[in-house]
Amino acid sequence: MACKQTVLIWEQLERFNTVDLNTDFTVINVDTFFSNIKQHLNDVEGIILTPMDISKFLNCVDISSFSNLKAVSVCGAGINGLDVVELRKRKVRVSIIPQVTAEPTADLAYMMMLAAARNLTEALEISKKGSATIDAAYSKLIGRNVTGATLGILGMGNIGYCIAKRAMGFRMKVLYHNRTRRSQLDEECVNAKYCNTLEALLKQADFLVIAVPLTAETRKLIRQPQLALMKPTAILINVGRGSVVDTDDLVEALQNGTISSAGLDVTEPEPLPQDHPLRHMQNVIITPHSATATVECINEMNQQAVQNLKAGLSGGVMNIEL
Amino acid sequence: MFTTGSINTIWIISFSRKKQSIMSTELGQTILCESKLKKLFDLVEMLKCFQVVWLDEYLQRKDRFSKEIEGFICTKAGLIDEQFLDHLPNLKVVSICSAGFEGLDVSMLHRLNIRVSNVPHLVSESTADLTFALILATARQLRKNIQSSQHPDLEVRMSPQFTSLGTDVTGATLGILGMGSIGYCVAMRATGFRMNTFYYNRNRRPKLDEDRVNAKYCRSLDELLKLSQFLVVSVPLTPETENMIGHKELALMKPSSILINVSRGCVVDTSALVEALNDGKISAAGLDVTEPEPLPYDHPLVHMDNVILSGHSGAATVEVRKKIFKQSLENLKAGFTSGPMNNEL
Repeated sequence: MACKQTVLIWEQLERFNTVDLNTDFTVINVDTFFSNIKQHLNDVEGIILTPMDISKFLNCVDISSFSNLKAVSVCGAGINGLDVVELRKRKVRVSIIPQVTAEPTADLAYMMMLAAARNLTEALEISKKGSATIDAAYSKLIGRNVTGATLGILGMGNIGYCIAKRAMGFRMKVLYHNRTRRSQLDEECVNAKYCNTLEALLKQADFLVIAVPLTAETRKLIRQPQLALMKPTAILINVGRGSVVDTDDLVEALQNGTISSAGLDVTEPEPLPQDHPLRHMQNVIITPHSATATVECINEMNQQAVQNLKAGLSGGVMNIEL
Repeated sequence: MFTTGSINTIWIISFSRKKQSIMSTELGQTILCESKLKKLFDLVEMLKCFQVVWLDEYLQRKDRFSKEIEGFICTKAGLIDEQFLDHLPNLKVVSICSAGFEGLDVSMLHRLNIRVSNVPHLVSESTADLTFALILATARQLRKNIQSSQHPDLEVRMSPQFTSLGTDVTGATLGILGMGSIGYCVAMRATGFRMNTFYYNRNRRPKLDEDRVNAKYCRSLDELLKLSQFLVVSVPLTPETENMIGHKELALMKPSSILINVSRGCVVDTSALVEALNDGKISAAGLDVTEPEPLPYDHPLVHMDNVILSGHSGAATVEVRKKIFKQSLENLKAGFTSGPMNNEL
């Protein structure tokens, strides 16, 4: 009888137990792993973990100390500091799941845009405090139109493009800035206009949605000089990475009215400490990196991550391999 | 005693109290204006051409201005009843500064030769935007997400998939109850999210309309209720639609479904809704309108994490308030000068 390979899984796969790995593998969870590290550094051949898990993991374990590791299947789109080059050198196959995350992330970007533009959090506060009045809709709750406004997308990859697709129904004017310009056909399908410079995008956007990955070029791309170019009525939404925006400069811009409000699914640091000013500002909505936190997305990602791991351990095709 | 943008004393002295049908383009009439419109500061400037009496001040001293008042700009037309009109013998024009006018007996005004108008179409897009705000905020657990991000426990702040898990809007089945302008604008927005859209309406829309928004007609309300993941209620309030969504209707809905109400509070039976949410008959609700409105702060709906209340703000954007106010002012002027109103009732 062939010996089953040992795979290490993290909490998300454990809790959303839609795929049974036990038939094909010996499955251990994180607690089991840490209870006998020496043995498991030797027997674990495959790992499935989310991008969020990666940073926690790398803090506790040196990934090069696994002696028989053959495949790492990331259950998400980002690698969050995983040294893929090093792993490939050691013949460890690594995969990510870049596509599944695009639509739920785009949906969350719209939730933020609409909640910020239409003062939903203000409405919630008013109703809870008993100061709800019929007149609130004529004063505190007056917001700004999303319909017909100018949407500025920074980063027109999968996520940015999905965001552009949703804008048409709202008759938004769509502008974008990206490392490379999209094809004319792509642009026409979503009625998006390319901005040659970041500055041009910032000046015109009523809603700026940041959807770039974190790279050397995008780190602290948005600082005080960039924020100063924006309209005072503009709303900034970040569903990319927290470090793309200089947090202190953002706080100042929001406090001074340089921009009107912000919706942040990602922050730097993440999560923010309890006493951070962004947590206590009325014109800021913060969600805890919830871009992919839907039942359907989690299940889909789990399934694909398992398929990728099986492929990685059996010489099959991973989708997609790094 | 009363306030306007800028008081022009010459107008006060020369103003005539005679009942007259003004055929000229001259303005300067005394008009009554609903007090909450005072909050729209820059719009009040536009009223300079009239003598404005604010409603709250008028109600305290009816006799002072009652015979002078020739026009009324209001948002809640239902307060105009026979008793109200008895005190306003020279009222010629009622310009409703909103789309809704429930409780108003339009024929009563017509019998008294009072012209009346509302502004029905300018709210559709902003209300549809708000509808999507509610759809996304309920689906993606805005309240729980905000709570999670504020939680003292670091683990909670880092695991939204365990503490504030939502459901997809993209690709989900949308049911629109009431496919008037607002319902249609909602369907338009749904296309970008690849939603599977169905609708139920008194009358079926032409195929061209349906195709443009990729919406399919349901022959019965029950059918719509059974298949919707998101049910948007956007009917006008009429005797037929009052309490249209009650125990029976909520029981037909999927346990994972979400109810969004942007019509009027009493289209949905409030206590039935509370029960349905408590019993898990539906999973969440987004309500721009409620009955009563506003809800008392200790009402169960206010404290449920899966309920979002948006405070009747469907038309509450700077841009829309301005457009509606301008139109209602144009209607008022047209009423005084025998011009066409948009929209005359």
